Amino acid sequence: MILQKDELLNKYIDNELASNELNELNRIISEKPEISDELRSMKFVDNTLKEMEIINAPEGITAKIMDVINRSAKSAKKKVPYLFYSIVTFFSVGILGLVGYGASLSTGESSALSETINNTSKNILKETKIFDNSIGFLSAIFKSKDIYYIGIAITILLIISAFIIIDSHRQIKNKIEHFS
Amino acid sequence: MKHLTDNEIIESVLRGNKGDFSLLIDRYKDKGFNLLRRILKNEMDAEEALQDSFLKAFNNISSFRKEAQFSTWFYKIVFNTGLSILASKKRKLEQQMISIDETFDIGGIDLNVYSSTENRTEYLLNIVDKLPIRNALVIILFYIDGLSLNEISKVLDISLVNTKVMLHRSRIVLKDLLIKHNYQKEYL
Repeated sequence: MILQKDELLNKYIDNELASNELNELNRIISEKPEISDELRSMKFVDNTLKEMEIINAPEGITAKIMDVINRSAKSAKKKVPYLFYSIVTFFSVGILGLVGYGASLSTGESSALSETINNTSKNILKETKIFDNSIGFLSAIFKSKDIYYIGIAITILLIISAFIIIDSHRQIKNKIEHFS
Repeated sequence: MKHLTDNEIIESVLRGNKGDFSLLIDRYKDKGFNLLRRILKNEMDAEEALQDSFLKAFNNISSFRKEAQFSTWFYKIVFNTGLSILASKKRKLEQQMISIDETFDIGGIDLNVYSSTENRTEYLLNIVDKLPIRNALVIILFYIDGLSLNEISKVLDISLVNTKVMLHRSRIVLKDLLIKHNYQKEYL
């Protein structure tokens, strides 16, 4: 009975009462006049809620949000290139080194660096001929004095790459802390 | 200035006109703020959550399906952001998120509100703030934002039937409280 009454009241407010349901509500009200108070209260609830005022967001919130979005977009842009550049730099320098090395072998230029690399390669090739297997090849490489120069160059490249990667991580970390 | 629809603004933002997103902010900031203030009961938290909600919306705007309503999609982000902030602040979330099947009793709080208000309108509006979050949100989304019950059910991630039950139950509770304090006599 109670559930039915409440359901009818809600349907009345939503204007969803069928004619037989409206008759039922009228019958209930005639039997229990206090139900008309409930109906009036329901109407009051509905009307008051319809007129409920919206609370405005603080002044200048649009500019503030756009600023957050712009800063976030900028940091997102920077995030990718740091790692990307470090990898590209490493491989680019490596490839350039190999190209330079190959060029010096073919042209036979007499610059100090190319001569050194040339000698190294000749030594390696010479030793490679003597030791005709992979172990012999590696052994030949490490026997050569000039391998130290190549090692130093690779180490420097690795240190530079590591620095760039660590620096990019530090910057990302700072940004995360700034936002949190 | 030409009035752009939500979808036209979104398309413009996706084409690279990021500044146009401010049109969506202007359109939904007040409604979003209203919801968040009801969830978080605090204007500063609501402002922070509003910024967070718009940032999430901006970052995920490419995943927005144009056949859906932006308002429903955005209110869902707002609702979830509000709830996560509330959970992180450990404000008795379980108590607030009362089950739909349970009836709720705001007995003690009701008396405090009644003693501090001067008329039935003020009383009723203050009581809405004291309803369990989802009940209060159903009322706000229905009456202030003008969302249909179907849209509200999508925002709150509950069934259409439960959404309707919550709206009806909230109205009945509010009506019973008015009668409890004899406010119905003022209609005569």
